[in-house]
Amino acid sequence: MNENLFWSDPASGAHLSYAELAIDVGCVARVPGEFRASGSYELFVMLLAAIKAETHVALATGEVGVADASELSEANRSIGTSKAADLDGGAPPVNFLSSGSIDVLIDELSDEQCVRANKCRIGVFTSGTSGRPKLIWHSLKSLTRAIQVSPKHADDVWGLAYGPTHFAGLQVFFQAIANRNPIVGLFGLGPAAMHEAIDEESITHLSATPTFYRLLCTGGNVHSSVKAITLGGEQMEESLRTRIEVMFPNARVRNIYASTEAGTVLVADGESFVVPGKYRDLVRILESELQLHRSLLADSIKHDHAGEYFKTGDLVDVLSEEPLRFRFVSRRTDWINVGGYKVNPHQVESRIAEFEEVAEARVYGRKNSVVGNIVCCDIQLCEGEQLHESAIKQRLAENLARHEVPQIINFVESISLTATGKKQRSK
Amino acid sequence: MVLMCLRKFLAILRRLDRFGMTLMDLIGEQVVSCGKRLDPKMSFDSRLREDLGFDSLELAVLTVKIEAEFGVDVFADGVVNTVGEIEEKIQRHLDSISE
Repeated sequence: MNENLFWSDPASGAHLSYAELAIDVGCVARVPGEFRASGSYELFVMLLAAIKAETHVALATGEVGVADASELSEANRSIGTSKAADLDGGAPPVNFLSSGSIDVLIDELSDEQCVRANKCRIGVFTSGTSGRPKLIWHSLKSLTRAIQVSPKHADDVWGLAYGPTHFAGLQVFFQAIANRNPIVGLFGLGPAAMHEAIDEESITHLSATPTFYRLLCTGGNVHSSVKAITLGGEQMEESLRTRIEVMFPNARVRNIYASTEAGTVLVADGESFVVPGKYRDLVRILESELQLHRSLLADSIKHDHAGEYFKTGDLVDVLSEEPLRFRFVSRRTDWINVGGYKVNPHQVESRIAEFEEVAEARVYGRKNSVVGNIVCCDIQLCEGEQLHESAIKQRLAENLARHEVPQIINFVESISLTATGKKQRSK
Repeated sequence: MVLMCLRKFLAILRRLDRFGMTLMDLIGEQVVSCGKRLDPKMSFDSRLREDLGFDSLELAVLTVKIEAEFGVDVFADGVVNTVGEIEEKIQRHLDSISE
């Protein structure tokens, strides 16, 4: 039985081995259709149980969910169970795991045939472009596409800086477990505790958003153990790269392009991305917009997406055609990226427009040195009406994710328009 | 000469006192607007995340409010950790514009 460390939680002091993980997975009596985890380890246990049972589970935290009956039924249909209306995961109690089967399960994660044959579906909530987060169902194939298993990764130690249900966090999980590496839970820790954890656990690999690194890279700490830094979810300014290089002098710094819809697609060294040969026919640039072939999409998106290519909304600057090399210029110009979460201002405006007191509203992003951008709005009230800022935020919070609720609200006489009569989307 | 130095010193004290109090008020308001309990012992040594409980989004809003009040983005060249560090950055900014 594998006594190597699997999970270390500096907040609670918990240290759990792969052997203990096997026992905990074996104790899972039933996989629910939606699982709301209180912590990362609990979520990983359920995830492995779902993979082993080849069933489906939607992963949720306190801020997102709940999958409705139609979404869970869709998952049932794609797996091919007979319980189309069953809201409860699907699998009857499964007895596992024998002492060796956790190793078998882990080995199967890097076996292309086993991965393709596995019928499990994992639901991940996106930050959503609608008022309610959208559930995206992924196969094991799309979740494990980017993992690399190799003896050179045998001694990696991963710092988990994402929330437990964040797609990028799942990428860290699969990469670590496929190589039987330890994972250290950094999400939710303050900077001082993170610095301590990085050194005490000798973390070698960190994957996080630029917002995380902005908060971490202050003060004079230097972490020599870290060999690899990956960033994704937002654009990174050059000054941040410099700070990262000072704090992590032995680390290779890479940008990741990934989305909840498509998973991890591209990795860059420096600012530019090169499309690897195997993806060359699956990635195209049209009118400066990056587009991905539908075969790269999560299963649930594929079914909804009629065209051959998925428009990401990310605008790029092509640096060379063969190999295809580009750098990102901006996200879809009117979307707002708040610490890696995309906010559709039109949707937020629609919500505000539902208030009787409001005549017109304009939602826009404002650059911010902590999270990249924050959501702001200008509100023109109907004549004679009054509405307090706190009331607006409270009402919006009933239907929007926290990062979507405008943090800065201005009451104006009239809404700013561009020369062509459109609302200004940036400030 | 002595009188001039004294006047300058008093002006600096008044400015410090005024902006120090405004900064504490501003941070206190942000603490309350985030639904947290305001610690009466909040001081310049208070750590923004560990003691006052700000997360990244709440810190982001705080930077905007500080910039609106004092004209400086205190997080522009790196995140600060304590109230006192914010005060120092504001002070440096005020010094630079008065020179």
